[in-house]
Amino acid sequence: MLEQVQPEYKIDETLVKVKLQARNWEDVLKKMGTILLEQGYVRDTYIKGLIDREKEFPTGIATHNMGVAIPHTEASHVIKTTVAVAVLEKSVSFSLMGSDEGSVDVDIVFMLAVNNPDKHLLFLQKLMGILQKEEVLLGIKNAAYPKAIAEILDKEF
Amino acid sequence: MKKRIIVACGGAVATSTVAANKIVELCKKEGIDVEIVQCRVSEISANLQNVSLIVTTARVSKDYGIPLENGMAFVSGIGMEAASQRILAHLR
Repeated sequence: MLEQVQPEYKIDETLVKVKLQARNWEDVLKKMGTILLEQGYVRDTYIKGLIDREKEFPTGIATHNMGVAIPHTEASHVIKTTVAVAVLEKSVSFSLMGSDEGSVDVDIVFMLAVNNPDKHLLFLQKLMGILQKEEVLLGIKNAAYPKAIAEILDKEF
Repeated sequence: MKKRIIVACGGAVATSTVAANKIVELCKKEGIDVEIVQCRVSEISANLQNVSLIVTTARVSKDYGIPLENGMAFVSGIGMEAASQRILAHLR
């Protein structure tokens, strides 16, 4: 069965980075957020929204085989739905989502920009589904260049 | 009788959308009629009427006097079976 990848869900390679260097989670959010801003996907209030949200409701997730983070913020800061992906050069600590304490060393960051959660439910579901696939995460982590990651993710969508 | 469930998350309604969808599927399979109220954690107090259960993917420090379960398992995929059972137990 041939499934058409929705054009709007096709991964934009300019939003994918490997070996991203960052001092801490705030640095990660600023660097990735800036790319989304420069490429026209989000408003200039997005980065602050990310940081404020991360402080109050962190987005670190410990999956079976590695730490990931899914920073995101209010739909009002987003112009066009997409996801930016970064594999970090060195793990960065993020606090755990849904718990009072605890943190996780994150290697892959999926920064979500969603301007309409209900309309993009399938997109969100596929993305969350990826978090549960160890081989996919490993493939992303070990990718030598962004194009390889885009290809891995396009298969999942 | 329809069971009303709040599914809440930290703010952007992204993870609660995914968790809510899984819960609806789960309840459908079990033949439980549910109505989902999706909101931010900060909006829980405003939506408590007739609610049987609160499921949240963000940390919650308040006690609302209603059973509360952590829905992170539906996002991370770890412990989904156990979380599903706990949620169903509240609704049956």
